[in-house]
Amino acid sequence: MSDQEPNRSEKRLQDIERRIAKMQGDRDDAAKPSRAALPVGMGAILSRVATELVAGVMVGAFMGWVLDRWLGTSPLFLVLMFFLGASAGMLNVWRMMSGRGMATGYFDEHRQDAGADKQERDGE
Amino acid sequence: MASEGMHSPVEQFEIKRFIEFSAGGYDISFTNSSLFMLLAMVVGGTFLTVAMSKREMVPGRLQGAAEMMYEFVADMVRSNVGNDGRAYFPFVFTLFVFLLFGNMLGLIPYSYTFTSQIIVTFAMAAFVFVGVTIVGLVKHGLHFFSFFVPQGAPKVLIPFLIVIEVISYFVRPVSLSVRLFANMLAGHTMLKVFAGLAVMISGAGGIAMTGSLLPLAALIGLTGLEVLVAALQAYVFTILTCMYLNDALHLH
Repeated sequence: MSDQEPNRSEKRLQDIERRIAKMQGDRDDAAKPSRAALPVGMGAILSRVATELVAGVMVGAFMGWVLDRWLGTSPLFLVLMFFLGASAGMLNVWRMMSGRGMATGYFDEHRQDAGADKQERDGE
Repeated sequence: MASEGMHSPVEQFEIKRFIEFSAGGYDISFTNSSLFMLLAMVVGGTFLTVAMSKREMVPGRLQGAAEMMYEFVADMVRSNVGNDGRAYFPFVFTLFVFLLFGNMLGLIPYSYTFTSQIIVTFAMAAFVFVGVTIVGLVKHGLHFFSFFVPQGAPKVLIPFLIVIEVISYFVRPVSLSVRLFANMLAGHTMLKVFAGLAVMISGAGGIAMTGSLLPLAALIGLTGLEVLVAALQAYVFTILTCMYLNDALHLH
């Protein structure tokens, strides 16, 4: 009975180690994006594209209007920012459709949105 | 439309003041909108508390529903933000529950949908936007602004591209709020239009009354659709918040 004791505690220790490893594994697994993404139905995409385009123009024009009022250059910035806003809207649509997430800026091709995904790719 | 005591389909969006308040020239009355925000908070909180009060090993229906919501949002944060997103989970979960219950309560007849007001959704989107920007600034300092500088673009184009990037960054709160608001507004208006049609046709009397069955049938289908939209838009708002948070936490 007593000579089994160290064996048992050894076993328990291993068990604990195994459980810790499993938990840490779970955490790492958790970092792996399953990419729960936005809905991809036709209607959903259409409405999202429409919102992005309209919002782009609206925000651009509004910023231009504010700049004009501030600098007294009406309608220079209004016109300029209107078009830049439209391009920003298109850029957002392109980003959305090309599955790059909503991140601003350009990516190198291997970068993914969640950092852990990159490690996974590097591992391959 | 208002003849024969008919209700206008947009009457449901009217703000009614229950308790009048004003401070510093601002109208801060307790309105039907505030009431339903409060209700969304109370009902959401009560639901989660009651559902989780037993803490059974094998969850019952209520507990199952609450755990499903929790895991759903947890998975969303995990997959879109990664492990650093854990710190922001409480906020994201609260946001989701608030929006979900707000949208769902709004579907109950005689209730009020506070997400159908652009100012409400815009205030929430602006809060997310400012919060995410602050998180990015705190985490990365001034390096955060490199976010707006496209890499590998020709030098001549960079000033233009920076302006475009900045605009596309500022578009976020607008598109985020407009999306939720427009969906709720359109859906609820459509419901009322079809309901009004059914009532109007049934007013014709006689055999013509059977014609009202058609919009009534459509209404049942639409109500189901609206339940879907209510859940979906809460989800979309939340997942976009996660994506923005991810951008701020992990700059490229």
